[in-house]
Amino acid sequence: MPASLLDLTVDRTGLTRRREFMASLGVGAGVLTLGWRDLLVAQASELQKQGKSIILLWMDGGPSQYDTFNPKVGSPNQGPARAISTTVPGVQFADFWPQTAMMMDKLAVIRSMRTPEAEHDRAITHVRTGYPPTPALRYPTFGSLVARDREVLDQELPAFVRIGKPRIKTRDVDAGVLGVKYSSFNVDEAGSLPPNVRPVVPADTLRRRLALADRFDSQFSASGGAKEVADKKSIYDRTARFVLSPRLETFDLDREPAPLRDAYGRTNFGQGCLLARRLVEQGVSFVEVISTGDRNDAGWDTHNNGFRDTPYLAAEVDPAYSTLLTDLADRGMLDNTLVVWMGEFGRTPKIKPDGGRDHYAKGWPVVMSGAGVRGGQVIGATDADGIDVTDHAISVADLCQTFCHVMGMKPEDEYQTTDNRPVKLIEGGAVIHELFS
Amino acid sequence: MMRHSFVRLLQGSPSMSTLSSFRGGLRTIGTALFFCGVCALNLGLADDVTTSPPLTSAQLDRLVIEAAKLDDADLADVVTDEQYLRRVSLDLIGRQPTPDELAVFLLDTSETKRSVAAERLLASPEFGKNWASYWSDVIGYRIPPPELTFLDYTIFEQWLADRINQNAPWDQTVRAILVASGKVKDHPEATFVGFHGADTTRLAAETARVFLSLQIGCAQCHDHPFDEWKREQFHELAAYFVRSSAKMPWNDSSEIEVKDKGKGEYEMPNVADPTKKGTMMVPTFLTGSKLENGKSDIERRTELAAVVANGTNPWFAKAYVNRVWARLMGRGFHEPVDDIGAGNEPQLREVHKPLTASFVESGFDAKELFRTIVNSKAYQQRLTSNPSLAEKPFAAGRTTKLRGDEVFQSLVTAIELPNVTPPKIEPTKDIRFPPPPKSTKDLVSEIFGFDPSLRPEDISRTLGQAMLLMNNDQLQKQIDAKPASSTVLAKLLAAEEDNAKAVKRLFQLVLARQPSEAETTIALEHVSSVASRPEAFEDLLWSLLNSAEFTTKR
Repeated sequence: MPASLLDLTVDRTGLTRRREFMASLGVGAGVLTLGWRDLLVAQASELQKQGKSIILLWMDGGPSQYDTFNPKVGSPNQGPARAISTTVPGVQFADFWPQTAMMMDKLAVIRSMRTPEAEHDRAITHVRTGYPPTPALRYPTFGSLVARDREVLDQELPAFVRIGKPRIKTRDVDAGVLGVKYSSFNVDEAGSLPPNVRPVVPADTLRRRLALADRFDSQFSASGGAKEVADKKSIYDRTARFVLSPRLETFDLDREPAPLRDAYGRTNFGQGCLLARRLVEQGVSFVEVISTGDRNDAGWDTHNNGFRDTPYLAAEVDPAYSTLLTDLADRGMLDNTLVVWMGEFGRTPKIKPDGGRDHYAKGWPVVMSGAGVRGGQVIGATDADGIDVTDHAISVADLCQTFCHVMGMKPEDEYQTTDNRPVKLIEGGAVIHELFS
Repeated sequence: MMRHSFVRLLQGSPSMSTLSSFRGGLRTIGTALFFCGVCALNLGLADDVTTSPPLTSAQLDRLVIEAAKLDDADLADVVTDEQYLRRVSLDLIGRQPTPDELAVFLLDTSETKRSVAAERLLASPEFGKNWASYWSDVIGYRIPPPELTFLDYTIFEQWLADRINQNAPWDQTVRAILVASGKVKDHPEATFVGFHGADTTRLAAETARVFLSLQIGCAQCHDHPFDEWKREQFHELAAYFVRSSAKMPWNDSSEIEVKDKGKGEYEMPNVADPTKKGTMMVPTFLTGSKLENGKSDIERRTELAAVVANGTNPWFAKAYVNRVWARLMGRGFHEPVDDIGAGNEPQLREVHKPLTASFVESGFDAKELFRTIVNSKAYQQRLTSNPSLAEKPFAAGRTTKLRGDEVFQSLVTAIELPNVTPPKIEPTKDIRFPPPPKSTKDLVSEIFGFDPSLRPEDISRTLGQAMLLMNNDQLQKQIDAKPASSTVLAKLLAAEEDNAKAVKRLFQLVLARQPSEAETTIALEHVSSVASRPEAFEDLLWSLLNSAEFTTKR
């Protein structure tokens, strides 16, 4: 069997393939649906690593390590947050995280991120694309790489969904050179669908109209518009599948029991985490939930009044995060879902007079769970005052390598930019193997 | 040999009028001998700009026939009047014709009516608006959003639209863009430098790409793999911008101010060890023309503008002609249009060259270039459903996707889609960076928009586009056929009791043409299959708006 068959991927929605696989066979789309399962069965071991999803909980603005998952008891840098015990002896969190502390058996806490960028736009670009910022190329965010990898022939839901809005729009990173096809599908507010998704006429009427448009398109196709009509048809077929899909119910949170919704927290972030679970359950491969606190556009960027705002932000995330982990575990989904908690950097050891902290990229935390990650462990360390990493510095490339590992993507795979330059998914770095041992 | 070609270049130039460009030119001779030998050879300087009388449309056709190895008959098969008016209206004024415009045109029996129509469109203020929006997209799609400032291109587009409508020579317009200083609101032409944050390397790469269609961006870090660009050449170009600064205000991009830093020279970073001191660069253009160090910001950029926007370099005029040709003809001499470097094999070089020469000769008269092309038979070729003809370069017309603004304007023309802008949210202490409100036009343009420098095959239709045309409630309101809605459709149905005639008017409204017999049959079958006449016609209008043809230039 040719090596290219190893490129097959599968997810919970059924059967999937990669573009490269199609291209390598040099055949049209229709042909490949034949004998699909046979091919897949033959590659069962390869497929075990597939069917994975990532939920990224994005703490927009850069949360303080002292006030989250690396408190420095006794250090003058600690500030007012006290440390509390977790379910693993010796591991402590800041006291704003009582529910998450009870989840420590599911968490791998990395305390030693060390990255070069400490300005938001540059750090966001770096952390979310895996590449240092450069004017030469707009690298895609990781979710777009996943969307490209998990392109599904007959998909109804998008592969990459983002819930919540980035606090400052000018800093956003998208599919970049991969193009809009692999952009995230954005749900600004969990519980309601974005504009233009839900049909404004009954489904029957929409189908009738689509059929009529098809007939006119055939006329245009016969008079020289064949290419445009074929282009249009493929995107309309996909769109119609989506907007007429019963799976749009996935976005409707009223279908969840009220106590569970309460447990996640009735905040945009809390309900976003619930929606993330519902989406992953339906086979969506990459979901991002953004935490900004909703009250202002400072989010986790707590320069001023950090000691006032951080408890508020944590109170939004703590119940949502812990409930998400429990909910995923209860449904047997945690084994296939990597949950990542992170922002673009941490905050300075030095406390400002008004109780805030500035940007700091040495020794900031990332927390992971699920998808084979061994819970209950701490990876890396910073010194007693949290000034710098003392053990196992982790880079952005290491993180992205790890994401690739979980998703069964090959970091050395290349995509083409619009001007035909080959770009590797990720360059450099190494999988953080301790996570899985 | 090399020297000869440079001398010919200088002598052949009609626009060597300014002192600075003349100075630049003289230096070109001096430096070319030792510096530019290799690259000049590769760029084919010798065959580029020569003196010749302005090209007529008939001469252009002759050139196309010879270069593309076509029969005269291939070009004789031109589009119908209806097809021509829609094509030329979209290309020149960025929207389809109204039913009235179409009716007047069809009634005209004069032989020159196509060129008269083209003339009317070239004189319309919509011409400048359309092409200003094109250039604003060319520039804007590659400007990453800066930290905390929302870039608004409206002021720049208005400025550029005025220039284009006045038919200001293209070289002068580009010089104004490269030289401009001050606040964007007072000097909209400062947008290019200002929105790039006066970033030296970005401006070097983008000046070359946007105005010369040269890809030197990767020479920032290493010698160019295909073309002959050396890393030094990239950084020498960046050195022209080293004293520019741009103050980025919060939120409002019209307050961006381009100013002289007052000091500084450019250093090329040390690749081997970036912590070490770099190499100081002398501002030098790609032809080898140099400026000494120590010059002010304005002196540097004035000199750069003079050497860039100039018919004596092999790229400036060629790049413009290539872009216009590509947009009008559906494919460029060079694809992608922003890469005419030596590494990229062109189509119909024998057409591109004289058309470029003619453009230079005319003093960069853009309207004349448009006129020459849209009056040619090559431009007016029909689409073909014959695959072998479709594959043959320039043997038949080719479809292109409408740009975002064109889709919006066509929706306005077809169904009077209103342009609604939500109220602006003022920044507060808590919400410091509220995104500016998006009008209907902004939304449609954004969703249907694409980077015009991409190859046509890299521009894909999207889920968002399909969803907007399928489900947008503002659009659906305009599709309402109930008399009380007083939409275009409601009025049409009230005025036209005969279904066949109503179908015909609907086609003219949405697709700017009459339906074929087969299409009339399809439409009437549909009307009789749906119990309610208004509902049947709502379906029809929806289907035409959602047809592939509506968003396609054909």
